[in-house]
Amino acid sequence: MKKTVLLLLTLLMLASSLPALAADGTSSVYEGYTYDFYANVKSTPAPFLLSRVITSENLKGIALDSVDDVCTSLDGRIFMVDSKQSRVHVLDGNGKMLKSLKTIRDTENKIVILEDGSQLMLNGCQGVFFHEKQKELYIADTAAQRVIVLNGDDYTFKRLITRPSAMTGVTEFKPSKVTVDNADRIYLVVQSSYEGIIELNEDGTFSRYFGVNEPQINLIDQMWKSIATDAQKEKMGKTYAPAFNNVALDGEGFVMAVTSDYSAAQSVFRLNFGGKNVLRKKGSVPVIGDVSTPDGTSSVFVDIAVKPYGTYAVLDKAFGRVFLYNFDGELLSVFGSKGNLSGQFKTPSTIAWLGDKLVIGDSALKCAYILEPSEFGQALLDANEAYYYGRWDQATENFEKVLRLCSNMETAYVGIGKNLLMQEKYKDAMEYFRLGNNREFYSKAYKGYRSEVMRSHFGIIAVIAGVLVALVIGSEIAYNRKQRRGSK
Amino acid sequence: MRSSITKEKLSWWGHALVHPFDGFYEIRFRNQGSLLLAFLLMVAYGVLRCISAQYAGFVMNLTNLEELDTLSLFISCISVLLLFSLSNWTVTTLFNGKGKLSDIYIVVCYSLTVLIIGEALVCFVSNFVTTEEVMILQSIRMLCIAWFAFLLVAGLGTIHEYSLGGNLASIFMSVVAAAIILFIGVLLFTMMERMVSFFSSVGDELMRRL
Repeated sequence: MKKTVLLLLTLLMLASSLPALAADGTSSVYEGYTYDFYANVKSTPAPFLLSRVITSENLKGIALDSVDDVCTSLDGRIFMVDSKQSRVHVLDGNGKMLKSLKTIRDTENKIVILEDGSQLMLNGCQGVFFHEKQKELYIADTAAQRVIVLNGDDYTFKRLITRPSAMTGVTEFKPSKVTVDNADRIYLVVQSSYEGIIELNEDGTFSRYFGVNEPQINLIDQMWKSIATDAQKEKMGKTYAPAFNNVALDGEGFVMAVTSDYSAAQSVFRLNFGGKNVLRKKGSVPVIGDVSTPDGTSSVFVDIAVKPYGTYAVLDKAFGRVFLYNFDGELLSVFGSKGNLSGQFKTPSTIAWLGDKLVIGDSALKCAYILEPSEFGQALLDANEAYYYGRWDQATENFEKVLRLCSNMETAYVGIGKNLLMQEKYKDAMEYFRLGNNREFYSKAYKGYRSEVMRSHFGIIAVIAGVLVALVIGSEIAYNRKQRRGSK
Repeated sequence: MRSSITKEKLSWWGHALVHPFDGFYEIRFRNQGSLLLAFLLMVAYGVLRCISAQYAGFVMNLTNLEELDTLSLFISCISVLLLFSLSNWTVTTLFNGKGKLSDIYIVVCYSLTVLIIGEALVCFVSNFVTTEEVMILQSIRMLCIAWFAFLLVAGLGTIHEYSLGGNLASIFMSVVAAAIILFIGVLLFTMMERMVSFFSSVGDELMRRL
């Protein structure tokens, strides 16, 4: 009897000492964290779990030498670019290969022949974009200095965009990333171009350079430059505007871009039509990835993926991390790491949403991961979606779920507080804003609460004020009388 | 008695806050200052700073309450006052200042009174304001700091019998002197630490050998 009890106890202890891991053991790889109001690291559960790995094995024997860009279509296809093999692979949501593009064929299944007699083949392509509105597939064929537009359903040739004759500036026409907005304007990113994003009209004619990326101004450099002679300035080297690395479109049609340039003053951009950065920065930490690292290095963003409701994920090459922000610029969770475990990164290069899943490509590991949200991640995404579209009760429900799973999420407290504020439950809202460390909204709730208290106790307050006024006037009169008596 | 608190001394304390030249003259040259009162004011200021860090209204209070250490906050508040008094004394004794260390200490602590009043007021009212009204409280606080600075400069000038320029220069020099004192203090501390560790290791070695 005693022995069985002991055995049971030992088993129980063993079972409780094991951390709860997913069957594939990846939840520990994606353990997340976030920053609180005081920029302290607070841990969160893993928001995403590894669901599938796409390697060359999925491609029916075609070699996969690199994954440079990934994009998805609404019907769940994944387009994956391999610049070393110059191929674009089309897969379904489960990682099954549908097609691999190398030579481009027309509707009669003949290889397209160019004007100079050569066959149209992909050559060092680095970017791909699926345009939902026209059902077109745009491939940035970088080394060949062109953009190839294909039919999005049968991948037959549609048209070719080469260097527009009216293009100004010194930027080479080497498009590496491509995005098309709802008005069919085409945005091309050229790596290390300091003139901005190239914007083309629908017909492929040049429109303008778009977006200003301001370099950080260094006071000491500025001082030296101001006292240097012209000859010295010649030798000093110019400060160029940092280049954009990647673009994406958000649900409202704004172009979102990232830069990995160290000299850039900002690293995530939401560009309005005039090319100004209108990224919302309501979070308690700035949108720069890691706020403070032990060795002082900062995050290096290589790609950004945006949900229609503005929640975006930015991919950091320096530490192999994914940063999830909501449309307000509040940090939700950070996960991912560098290493050799399944699900870890070496040189992450690209990220895209596939519904609520994430597709992340790694150019050194020559594979792409499909991550699916955990219960926590799903609640986080749902809450922010509902909040964005103004479905308050659903948002509160999901924020409460988030808090049940992780009480460190300040944004969730604030989300619930905003709903309470809307319902004019000021006292409760104040409590939630206090927990969420949001002083701006706490003050709004307090204002409501204060006027409520004032209104309900108006009688007493009016009496006290009246007595105070009477006392002041009375003492003045008494003082004056005394003065007059004294002067007599 | 320099330390006793009499009714007359209390009235001169109040007088000095609004008429610093007059008041601090009486305190210095007619012996109307109280060291005990000065000490109490200093403690009150330190305590108030701790209370303010903990209980100021949420809208204005950016302290991380999880990491708040009232004891170190209290000591850091007080040590600044003591350090300044000391460094000012070291500087002014070299430059013909008439004030003694106790005079300087009394001036510094008496001037704190306005800061105490301001801080207490702001701390209390901040519990009933919104972010838009924080501005008013900030300006009250700035006003109190300006008044404190005026009292300090006027008081120090009076007790040392300095001109304005000489007075400001001596205050600047005392800040420099405070930095030097701090530096020497840290140096001494590390030296002591090394000495102790040296002797303790020698002791260890002896214990093992014998």
